[in-house]
Amino acid sequence: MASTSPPLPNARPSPRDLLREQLATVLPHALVTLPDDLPDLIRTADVVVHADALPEVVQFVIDHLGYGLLSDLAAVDYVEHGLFELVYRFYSIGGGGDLVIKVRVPRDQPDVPSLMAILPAAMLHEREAYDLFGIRFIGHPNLRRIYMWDEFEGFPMRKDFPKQGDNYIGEGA
Amino acid sequence: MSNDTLTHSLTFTEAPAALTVVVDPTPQIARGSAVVVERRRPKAAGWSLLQGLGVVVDHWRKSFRKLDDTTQIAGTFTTEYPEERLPLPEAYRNMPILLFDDATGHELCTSCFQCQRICPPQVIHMTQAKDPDTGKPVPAVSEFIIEYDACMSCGFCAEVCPFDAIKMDHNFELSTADHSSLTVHKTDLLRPISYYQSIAPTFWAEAEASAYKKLETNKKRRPATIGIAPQMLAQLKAAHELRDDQQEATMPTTAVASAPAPATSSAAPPARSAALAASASDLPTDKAARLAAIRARNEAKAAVQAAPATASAAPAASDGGDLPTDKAARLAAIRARNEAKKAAEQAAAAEAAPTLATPDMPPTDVQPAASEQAAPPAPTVPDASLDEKAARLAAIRARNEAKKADEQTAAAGAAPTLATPDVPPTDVPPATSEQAAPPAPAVPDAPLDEKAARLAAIRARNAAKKAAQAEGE
Ligand code: SF4
Ligand code: SF4
Repeated sequence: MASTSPPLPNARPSPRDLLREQLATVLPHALVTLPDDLPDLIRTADVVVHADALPEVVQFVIDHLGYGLLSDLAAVDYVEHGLFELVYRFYSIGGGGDLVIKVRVPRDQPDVPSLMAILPAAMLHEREAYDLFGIRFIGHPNLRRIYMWDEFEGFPMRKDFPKQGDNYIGEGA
Repeated sequence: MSNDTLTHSLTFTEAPAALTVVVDPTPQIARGSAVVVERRRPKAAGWSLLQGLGVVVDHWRKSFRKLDDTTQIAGTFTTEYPEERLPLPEAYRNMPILLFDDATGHELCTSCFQCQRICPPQVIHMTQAKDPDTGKPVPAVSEFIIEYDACMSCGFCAEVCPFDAIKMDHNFELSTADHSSLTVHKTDLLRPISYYQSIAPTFWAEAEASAYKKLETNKKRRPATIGIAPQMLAQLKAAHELRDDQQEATMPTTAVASAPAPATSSAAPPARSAALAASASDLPTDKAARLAAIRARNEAKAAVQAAPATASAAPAASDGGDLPTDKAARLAAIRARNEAKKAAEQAAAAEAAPTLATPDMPPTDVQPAASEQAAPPAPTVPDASLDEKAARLAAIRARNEAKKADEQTAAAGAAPTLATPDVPPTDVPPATSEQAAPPAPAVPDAPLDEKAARLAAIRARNAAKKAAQAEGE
């Protein structure tokens, strides 16, 4: 809704701008500065942080911004750009909009520190991202498959996962 | 975080920005360290009470301000779910559903197992339908199960389905205390196409043409009621019974064959009958076959009246061999076949005038007289129901014969799709219609309005085209 209405004069800064501003002063090494010439698909206005600095950033967000609820962890496979993107979405009990933190890791080495020690809520989210995308969460105590059976090979939500169904030619096609 | 943010859901533009965050210039961030949030509030007794009152006063004061438009309001806005909902994007996917055709009730799924094969967590299970007579598999599913609890909503099943039979639903309100209800069976998976169209109009528009085309092909290979959504069967049956009764009442015994039946029924929903007419159009010699069927039926009726029944078991659906009227029916069928052959030859020049008001094989005579008049299963007296049953069987037979004859003239040589008799229920109320009572028009097919007439014309043209092609080969 808010996105369709014109920007509010004097409206308070969005959580995103606030986070960026504060990270720049507090944890400047965590912020990723994206090049300007990125392809449209992977350009983003959200805060992107280095994978290594993620726990620090999350701890900061919880302690100082009050965003203590990890609502969602989504993984995106940008197969053409060789990237996995993890989108962490936080909410604050105090209300206000959501806060998004993104992490980008190379497809061939998808290692991200686990948030389990800080946020136990990350437990199932990380297992799901591991199961479907093969993101390795370093430090997760129980990184097992969650949808698939343990012997399943491959990560089905990766864009290059083979569709092993036969190529069926329907009659009348 | 300041308390203001908690309490002021509406903050007017003049108000100072509500979110104030205290940042320690040199934060010591350690995992799991105790967190002290600075509230900046005096610790005097009764302060919270005063603060609460302050909010009231504040709002009261602001309520006098005149706003020019909504952009002068800042704050958190909510949608009052579930009464109010934000639109979901078309591509949103939650759980898969199966589709069936609104008009005929036919399921689009052909049991090709593609979705079952590709499903990563292997939660799709299905059983292919079999023709009860021949034991041969039919392109339809008899049971289809998806375990919603383990489905990962990947949408692969919808992606691979060559028949556009399985689609991703938008309904996300699936939480339940009953775990076993998340193993969803076919009846609960089926949705009318119109439903999918309403949630994903552009997607369906892309798929529509090929989906219907394939469905038409598959329908021909589905005997009797196989492949029809179970929830549609009752409606179908009711519609057929109604129509049959009315036909019995209105049809003159002799002169049917020649004249297009007049639209005796009046207020029948024209769009519906148009759709029905269209759905019946897959028979190349539709018209001829139907005429033949009427004739055969009349013949059979006469025969039954002439020869008293010698009582045999209740007839099976597609096996009328032990009926008392068998011989008569067969005779009628032969006659019908000849008729049909002749008609097929003439069909190339078929005129646009539609003759639609002829009977059609009703699926109801699989279990006849369920509601009609409690016919005994093994009648010893040729009562009315037996008579009608025999007539119907004769009609089916005649129609099948006619079709076969037509196929032979088509010389299409062993096209297996047509080998099984086609008994499409052409008279289906829409899936979305509430009850089955009103939909069936007495003579459902007469072109009641322009649209129906146009459809009929298209249909006639198609029939003519098919016949022409057949002769060309
Ligand atoms: S959405 Fe994916 S997991 Fe669910 S039934 Fe379809 S293929 Fe299987
Ligand atoms: S839903 Fe589609 S893919 Fe699955 S069996 Fe039916 S027709 Fe085949």
